[in-house]
Amino acid sequence: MSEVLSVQQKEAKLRSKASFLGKIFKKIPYGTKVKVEAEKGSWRNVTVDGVSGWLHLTSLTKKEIVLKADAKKVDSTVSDDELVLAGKGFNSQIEKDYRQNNPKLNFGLVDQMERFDVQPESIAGFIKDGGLNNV
Amino acid sequence: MSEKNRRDILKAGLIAGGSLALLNSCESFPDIEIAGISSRSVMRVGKAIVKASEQITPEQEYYIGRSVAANIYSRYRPYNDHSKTKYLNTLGLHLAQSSDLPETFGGYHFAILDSNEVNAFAAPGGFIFVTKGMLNCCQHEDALAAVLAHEIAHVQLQHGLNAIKNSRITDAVLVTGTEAASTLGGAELRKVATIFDDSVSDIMTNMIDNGFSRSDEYETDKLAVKIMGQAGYQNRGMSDMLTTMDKKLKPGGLDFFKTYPSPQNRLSELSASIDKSTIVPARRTQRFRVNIGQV
Repeated sequence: MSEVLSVQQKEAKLRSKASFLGKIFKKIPYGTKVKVEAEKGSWRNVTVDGVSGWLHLTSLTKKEIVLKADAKKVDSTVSDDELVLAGKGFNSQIEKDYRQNNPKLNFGLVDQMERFDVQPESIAGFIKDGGLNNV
Repeated sequence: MSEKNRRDILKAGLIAGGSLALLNSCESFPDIEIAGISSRSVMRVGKAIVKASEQITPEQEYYIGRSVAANIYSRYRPYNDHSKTKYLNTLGLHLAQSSDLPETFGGYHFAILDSNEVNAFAAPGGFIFVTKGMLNCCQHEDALAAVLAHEIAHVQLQHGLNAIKNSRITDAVLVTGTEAASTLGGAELRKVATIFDDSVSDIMTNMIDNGFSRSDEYETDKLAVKIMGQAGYQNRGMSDMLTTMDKKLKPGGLDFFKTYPSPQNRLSELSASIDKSTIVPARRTQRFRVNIGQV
């Protein structure tokens, strides 16, 4: 029976092969459930919305991630080992409040840092030219 | 293996005297004996030392990390050089992707700070900063790999999060409970916002003003050397970098001397795991000179 796991990253990158050097062809949002079709080391071949590709195991969790809209349906007896409440505690709402109270802090620089992207092709070339280990 | 479980093993493995071979093969946590130590008992020891980080989800860690990063930018200006930043991010991502925790909630990100102070910081979740002064302690790519691997190791071992006082996290759990995902009411929102503010302050004080404990730093160096090896870097990069740093640091200065064990002590702790007879390939030394050089 195929296992169903949840994406525990802000945006997991679905790759064409079981490697960080695999081309990224789809980004899957936090909390999305994916069906595991096959395994290869620390990689899982998954299907989501009819599309199949590879995700690293650390992008996934066995826990159910309950998104904000469904939070009220949560049974309070269910333990933290079984589910994660998205947006629990420290979240975008709390950051917004923190920013209002600390207007001199430049979160634009943090956003800029997060936006800086390096494509798998560049990392592959870097590894080859430097005689480093493939991942 | 989830990020949380992988981190428990990461910590437990280091406690067991670096029996990190466990990490690569342990998908379902079979109970294995290494040198007479049961892996499950090691994991229990590992869990016992996990502090505030135990209660914090990867998503929450990301939001704390963003605010810590914004605070770092309030003390240091960014050094906006696109090609140097691209080289730094390419090297840093290769290291992170070679490690046992290649993905975090928001991913790893690397930036240069426009300061001649010798320093580097890792905010929770993967926001990593290196000063120009620190870049100038590196003579080749393997030395810079040692700096970045050390900061990646701090993120993975959650030393930033563990600086948060446990009482704050207990309070946060009590305030939020299972209602947390729905919109918090005014009073609860204020309480959680105060706890968040105090938690960010705890991390800034520990990371920038006081520094992590010596044992945390030595543990971090050990994991860094492991990450470097997995990525294909010579571990002598760590000793070359620490030796240069030792020459550059001024006693009583505002940088590493204030918050870190001395480079000599770090070298002595690592002596058994570093092979100085290896040679860093010329192409990596050349590549470092072209992409970073003297900053």
